[in-house]
Amino acid sequence: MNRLEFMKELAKLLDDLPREEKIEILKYYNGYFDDAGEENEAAIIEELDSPAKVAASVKAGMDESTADHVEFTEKGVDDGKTVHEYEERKTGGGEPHGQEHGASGQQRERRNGWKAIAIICLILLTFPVWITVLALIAALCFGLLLAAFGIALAVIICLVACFGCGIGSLIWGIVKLFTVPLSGVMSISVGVMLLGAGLLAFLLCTVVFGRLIPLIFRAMGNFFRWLSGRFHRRESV
Amino acid sequence: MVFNTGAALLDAIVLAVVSTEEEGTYGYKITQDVRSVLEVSESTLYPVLRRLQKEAYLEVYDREYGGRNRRYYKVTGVGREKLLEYCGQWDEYSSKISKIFAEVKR
Repeated sequence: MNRLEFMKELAKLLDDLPREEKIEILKYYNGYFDDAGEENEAAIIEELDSPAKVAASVKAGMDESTADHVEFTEKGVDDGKTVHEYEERKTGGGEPHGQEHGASGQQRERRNGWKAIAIICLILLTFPVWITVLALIAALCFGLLLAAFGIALAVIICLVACFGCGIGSLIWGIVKLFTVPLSGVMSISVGVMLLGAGLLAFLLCTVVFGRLIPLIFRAMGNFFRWLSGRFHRRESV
Repeated sequence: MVFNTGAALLDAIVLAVVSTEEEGTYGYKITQDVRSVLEVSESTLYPVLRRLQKEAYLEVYDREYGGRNRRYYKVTGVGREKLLEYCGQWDEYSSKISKIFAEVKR
């Protein structure tokens, strides 16, 4: 298609517009081709796509009521214009216009109602499946939480016990040192060993509280985010 | 570009592009200028120019160029006010969005 054919076709497609409007548009695109120069003619025709697209774009832009809802994307103008036009032509003018619009609205509402009922039925029917899955997820989360709690508790008890016994043994040993020196030395050495174990337990504590527990919570958080993300995507489809 | 440009933003961009030329500018040049920053199809601009003209934000006049009449578009006083309003709104809008994006850890 060359420039002349393009303009002829466009003129034909704009026949239903007011005469002055049509002339304005044709003048604009004529000037556009002139300014672009002959060397760009083919590129512009390709970019404009087709006279039909240009005509549709112009008509969509002229419709004041839809102008605000029109989205301009790289693909061109995109709105519900074609449907809108079709409905208007179908209903014609005057009194029946409103009535038919009302009827089609009611129909749409009823259809939406049926859709909702169908979805509810589906949810109820698949009850045994999703309740199991839900219970499984809940049990898993509960188990993980319990495990984390258990580990934390064990580590804390270990820490307290080691320090408590270690300090006790140390004091007992020092006291004993004056009466039964050998037994006292033994007690002191046990106490020092226990304190050492306590320090190890403290290290373990920092690992558990600093790393493991946050890890478990983060993993659970990620899982729920992933789940809700999937759910939303399916809903929007 | 993944972000769509709404009608108001496109209006504002076109007004801004036209306003840079004191004497006014013409359709092909406006399209090229807009397309240098934004991916819009060539058929998008005419309806915008027409709308801005109808709302009296742009005025047109013909001037002889290379043996033919070229149509020039120029921002009116009302158009200039509208453009300034758009610029203010855009500052507010874009700074809010940018602030949120700036907080994203990369």
